[in-house]
Amino acid sequence: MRGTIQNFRGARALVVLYPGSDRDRLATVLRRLGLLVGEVDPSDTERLEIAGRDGFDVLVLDTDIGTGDLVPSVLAVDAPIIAVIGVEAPSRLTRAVNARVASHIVKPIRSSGIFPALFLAFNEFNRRRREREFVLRLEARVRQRRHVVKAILAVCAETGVDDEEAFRLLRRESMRRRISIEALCQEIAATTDATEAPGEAAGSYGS
Amino acid sequence: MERESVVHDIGILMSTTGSYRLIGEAMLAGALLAVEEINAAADLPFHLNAKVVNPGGVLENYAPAAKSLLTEDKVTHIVGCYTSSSRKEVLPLFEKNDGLLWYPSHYEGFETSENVVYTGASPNHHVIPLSDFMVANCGGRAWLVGSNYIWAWENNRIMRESLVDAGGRVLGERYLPVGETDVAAIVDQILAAKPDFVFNTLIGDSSYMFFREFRRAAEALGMDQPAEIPVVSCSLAEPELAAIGPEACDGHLSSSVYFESVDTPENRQFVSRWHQRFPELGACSADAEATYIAVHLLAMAIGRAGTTEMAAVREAVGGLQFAAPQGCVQVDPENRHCYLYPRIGRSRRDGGFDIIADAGTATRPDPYLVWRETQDSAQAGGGRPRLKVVS
Repeated sequence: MRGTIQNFRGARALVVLYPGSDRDRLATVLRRLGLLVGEVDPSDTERLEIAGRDGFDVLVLDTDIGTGDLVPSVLAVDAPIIAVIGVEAPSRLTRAVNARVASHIVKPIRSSGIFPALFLAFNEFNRRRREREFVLRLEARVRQRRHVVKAILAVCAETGVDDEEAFRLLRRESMRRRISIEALCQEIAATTDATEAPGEAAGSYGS
Repeated sequence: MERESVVHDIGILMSTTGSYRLIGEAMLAGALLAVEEINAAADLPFHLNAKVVNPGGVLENYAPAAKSLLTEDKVTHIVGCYTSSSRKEVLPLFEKNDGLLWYPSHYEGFETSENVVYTGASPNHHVIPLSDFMVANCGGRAWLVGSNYIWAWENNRIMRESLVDAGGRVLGERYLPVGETDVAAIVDQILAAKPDFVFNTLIGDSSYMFFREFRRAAEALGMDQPAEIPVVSCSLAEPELAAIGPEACDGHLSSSVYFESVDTPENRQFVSRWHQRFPELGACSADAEATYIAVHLLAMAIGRAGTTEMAAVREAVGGLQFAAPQGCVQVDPENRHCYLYPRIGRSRRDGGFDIIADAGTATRPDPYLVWRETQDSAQAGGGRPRLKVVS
């Protein structure tokens, strides 16, 4: 299997830039690379909303335009963002950082630099997505770990065995019932601690 | 015949000394031949005057040389560069000074500069057709050997992926430092692995030594090397066969858009003029032809634009057609690379090539390999030529 995506044919690019030579050149090169390109003015909220509903695979935004969030509020983004950077002042660049852009293109836009920006954006985004999924799995396990600790304490208190023996008992029981030890412990913890508010350790990694 | 002579200066930036001087000399000769033809033609209202600069094959010399041509000689158009690293070195100067580089070499693709016209082959003109040809005619188990730099790395990547897409595989892949001639260990590994073919991206002396050693070692084992484990290359050219020598230069396959043996009226004339004008240079090669094409296209574009101004000439070159030795080539207005003619040649002992497969038509350039067919993209691609076996 290939580790990286290198052909972007058929991917949908939403280019949010004001009309001009930068936008023309970018759109031309993206089409040359096989992408389907939608071009929207940053101020055209209505068309942005429609474009957002239609969906896109990569979003290109101009860090020079606007204040506050780089990503227009009408767009829900689950795609890599490429920043088009003109002014190099920290106030502009901070917006790119906050939006977690995956790569950037410097103005004035030339044809060189666009392919690498796409290449980095798609592959970096995919890696982040895999890492996010991994973190979610880890968080779920960490949440359940509380239940394992509580269940061990409960078994110790009820039977008088030490924590090692309690863990062995729990593991044996979970294997007998063919469920994970975390799931078993969650059941036990729920019955012994009915006051626990569920889900309070929910991840901070959501969008 | 005397005619009203507007003279346009053009720059020629070729290393005619240094490690790749043989290629630089051939490319310069191709350029000069074109300049002479243009200046002798009655239908163009201008002459070209070539200002030739030799960076000596030293990377650091390229930027000062290009800068002097662009700013002191005030030329807008420079035909030149052979290696990709030298092209990358001079590109910022062309952008800054509104110059246009006419780049006449096959290269690894993945570039479309606004300041370059590319007249040599892109990967979809040589690597992909070669991979397809080998899978269809020889088998898909390959061994990759190359010089340790970008041209070899990228072509080997493309070859590997193309083979894997076609159900083939790579048995081994090794790189030698540029200029290294101790190839014995690699030759032994390849002979032990018995691949269907060897894909060779070695350059210069490493390549010539490899061809000789591989032949010698295979014959010592009683093998008919060209028949049992052919060595295939991209753009192995006639002058290199002479450098390999008659004992080992036959039976190798080369994927190239030009061979001296291409049978067109334009090429017969071209080859005859070449030998008449440059008898000391030996056979004509693909890079020389690409340089010849570059100068002719430049003159046509200046004629069409009516000026040497960069943007006007760049606009004018899009779509231009030229009856080149390899066939009628055309500039793709989208990426300013050329539609060219993929071919496979088999080398002969006398230093020439028999053309054994030919796409027959000009193939659209696809420098980013966007349109090639792969396992995961079933759409028909304009950029993947189908070679027909012709002999």
